[in-house]
Amino acid sequence: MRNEGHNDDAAHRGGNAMTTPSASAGLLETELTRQEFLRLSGRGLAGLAIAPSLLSLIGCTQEDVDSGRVALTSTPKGVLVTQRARCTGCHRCETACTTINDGRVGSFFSRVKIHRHYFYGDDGPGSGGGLFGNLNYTTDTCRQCREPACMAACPVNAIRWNEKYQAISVDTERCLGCSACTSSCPWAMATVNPETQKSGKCILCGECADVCPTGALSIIEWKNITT
Amino acid sequence: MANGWAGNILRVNLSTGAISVEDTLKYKAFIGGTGFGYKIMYDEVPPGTKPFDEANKIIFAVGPLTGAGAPCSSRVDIVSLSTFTQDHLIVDAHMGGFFPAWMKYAGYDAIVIEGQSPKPVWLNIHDEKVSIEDAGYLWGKGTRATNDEICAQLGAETVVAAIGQAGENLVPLSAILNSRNHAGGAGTGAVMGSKNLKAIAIRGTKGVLVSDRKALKELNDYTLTQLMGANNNHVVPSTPQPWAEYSSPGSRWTARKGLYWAAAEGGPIETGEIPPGDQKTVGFRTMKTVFDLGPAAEKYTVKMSGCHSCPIRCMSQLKAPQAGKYHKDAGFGGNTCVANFVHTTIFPKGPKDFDDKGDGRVIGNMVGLYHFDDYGLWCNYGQLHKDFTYCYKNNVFQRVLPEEEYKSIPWHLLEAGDPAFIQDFYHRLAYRIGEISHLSDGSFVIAERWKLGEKYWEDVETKIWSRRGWPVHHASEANSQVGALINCLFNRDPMNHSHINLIGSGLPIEIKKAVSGELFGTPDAFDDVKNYTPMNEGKARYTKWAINRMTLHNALTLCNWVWPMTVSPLKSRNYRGDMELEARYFTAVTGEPATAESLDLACERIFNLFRAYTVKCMNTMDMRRKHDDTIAPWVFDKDPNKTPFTKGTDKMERADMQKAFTLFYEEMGWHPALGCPTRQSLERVGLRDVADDLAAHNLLPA
Repeated sequence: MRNEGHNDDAAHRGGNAMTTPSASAGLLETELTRQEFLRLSGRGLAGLAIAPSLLSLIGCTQEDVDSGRVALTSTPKGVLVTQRARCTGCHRCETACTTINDGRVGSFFSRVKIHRHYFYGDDGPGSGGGLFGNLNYTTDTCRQCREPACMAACPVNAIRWNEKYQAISVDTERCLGCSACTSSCPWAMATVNPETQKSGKCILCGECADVCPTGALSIIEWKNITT
Repeated sequence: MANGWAGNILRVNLSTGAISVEDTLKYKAFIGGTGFGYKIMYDEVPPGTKPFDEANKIIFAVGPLTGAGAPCSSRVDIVSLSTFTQDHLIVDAHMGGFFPAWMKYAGYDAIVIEGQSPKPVWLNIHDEKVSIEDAGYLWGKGTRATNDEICAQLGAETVVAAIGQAGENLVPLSAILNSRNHAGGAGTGAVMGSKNLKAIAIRGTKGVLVSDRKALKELNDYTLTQLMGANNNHVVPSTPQPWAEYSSPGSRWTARKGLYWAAAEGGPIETGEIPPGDQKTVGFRTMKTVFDLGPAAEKYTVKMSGCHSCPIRCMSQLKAPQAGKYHKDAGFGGNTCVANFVHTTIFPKGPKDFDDKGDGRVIGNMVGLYHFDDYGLWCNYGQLHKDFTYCYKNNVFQRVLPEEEYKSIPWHLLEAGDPAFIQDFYHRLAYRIGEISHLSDGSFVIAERWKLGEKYWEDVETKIWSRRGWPVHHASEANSQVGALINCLFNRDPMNHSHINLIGSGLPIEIKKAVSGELFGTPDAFDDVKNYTPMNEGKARYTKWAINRMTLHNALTLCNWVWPMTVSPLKSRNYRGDMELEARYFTAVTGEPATAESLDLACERIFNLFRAYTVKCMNTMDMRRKHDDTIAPWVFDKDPNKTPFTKGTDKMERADMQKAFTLFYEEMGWHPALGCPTRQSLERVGLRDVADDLAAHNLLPA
């Protein structure tokens, strides 16, 4: 979950549904509620002043968040925390995700994605990042956007709010495998599995965080954040 | 496509350009990995073929668990003919990283490379789409630039296995590299070079189909919380800790309070006291930077890394600007084990320090490993460097190098412990410059070429194991006859960790002996360090078990540097591991019933086939005298004032070793005097066709 670029969400989607950083700065210090967090859904929390109690819960500093070393993504279930310095690139997040969600273990169609950043970093070949560079690579996944471009682009309304998952997810019965979701997403998150011809994206099951052997990924549930 | 296996074997003939796919399942009795590699070599590469002949093949083979989510399962066996040991017999190299899993994700259980291309090429695999591409623009480049070029062209997710200049120049001790520092050695780089094949690039969008996803998840959770320890499955911490009943200073479970990934982005991360049971901390257990390079490495440790799907992060990741001054790309990097620390061992007075005491080992090795892996050189488990030291100490270079060449070598930098010497030295090796470059022909060749004489084989420090040209790798110093036998049976160092993992587990001798009693019928199968007993039948069973487990891991594939789970870190389990674990994973993934016993039989099939092919290529049944009993004399003559089987020495005894061969051959069902497979031993494991073939060549004992 890179924070760089998240502030461009509104521009990407041709709308202006997002709270601007300046307007929401300080918000989290005062009355933090799930609803307010959800207003920020679809973006990282860089640029926002985050409550010290939350930072302490996550084990990081405001500077970590601002610099992108720690990425926080608000989701309907809680805050997904990615600590880049702890990620050792084992890809067990991808294998665990695809084991439980697909019954076939792979990388390309995994709902959580580390491989695309592993070799050359979050900004790709030539950027000096990744295993071949400065050893920085960040796990990424669906941001559960408030106004999802994938949902808007899907020609058969297969991408919808799923009450069971408490997430915006793909209804594979309806999905045609056209990849409009992938191409419309600024981060190409939803991915069509070429073998099943069905799209998939994160359903917030938390399996990736449960198995991460260095705690680089974690989900802090709302009940532990809101008061 | 089946559960577990991808279902396809890719064949590429570089002479004709023909690309074809065949059904994996015809080889299923051999599971995968080395099983597939040995079978294809036995069936298709005739005895007498030399490694660089057009008729030689190089086979990359994985198995049903590769990439399937089992921990430590991204391993590929690369099977071909040896470039560096006597008679150029069959060998396998073992490569981790990401290439093995990506073979499966592209849909292949094996890639068989045949023939020779008339010009440099690389192989471009994107699922079903496979093409042979011109490599003119890559030839002459290192493994990293090759990776960069191909990924710039195909995308950052492409996994590339490439040779460097060493492979191109047919250096016998050369490797294939993927994902920066993951190497498959044994001269396979030169075999690829002889075929004019610079690289294999894979993009794979598929998945490994799993029979029972819930069972697989439960097995992963069980393994990570109850069975797995640290690297080499060391199950106790290296320092006393409140949660741990035992500790052992040699343990690779280095995590402790006050030990940090000190150069981590954003500030130090403590490895900490991390009791077993929590899989979210397993990746902090092993810190190979300090384990391999000493305490000075802590300051430079960014993090650890390793292979796809492995929670044991054994590959060092360091940042040292001092190394970056020697080469722009050497300032970040790292490796594991010998490849991590061997480079500065050639300095007679040690490496020179830079800012702190002991940092010379860190910086010197970072410079060394960068060039070594970029050139695609291979160290033969450190023997290359031991041979260098032997030759330097004994004035061999002075004797055999032409005067002009000798003068051109910056010996003063060697004496000064300067990494610039390593740079100069590796450049000569990779480009085959001068007589000194023949060091990387391997020990068997230089012993003859440079007339090293009996003194070389007798040298305790140089530690060459077999006169056929391979080094000690957990041999007689590791459980006496057990390690010694294991080191005799292959055509290179055996790469077997089944036994050394138990030895080094950190548990007290009483527990290890008790475990041995349960597994091998007698606690006397297990000797304490330097406190040996004569050969017994339990040791023969232990040896067979160790080979079967390694063979199983090389077939499924799993990493034999962590597996098997013979012991556990949990006192609540009485430190007992789970010997059915591989079978349970096999069943969860493939859906096919299996037990440790049924898989053992398959392993015996694979190992007997290997032995039969060795018999066939050597054209002799007398494996005892011609192949196995080639142990260097220092093993029996060291510690001149000590007697074998007394406390304080791991010296072996010649007559006892002969008994060890006999008991082991009997355990395998082989001819007890010759050590070759018999009709009965081959038919028992389903190799009647091999028995018939050997008989037709008069290579089957009556």
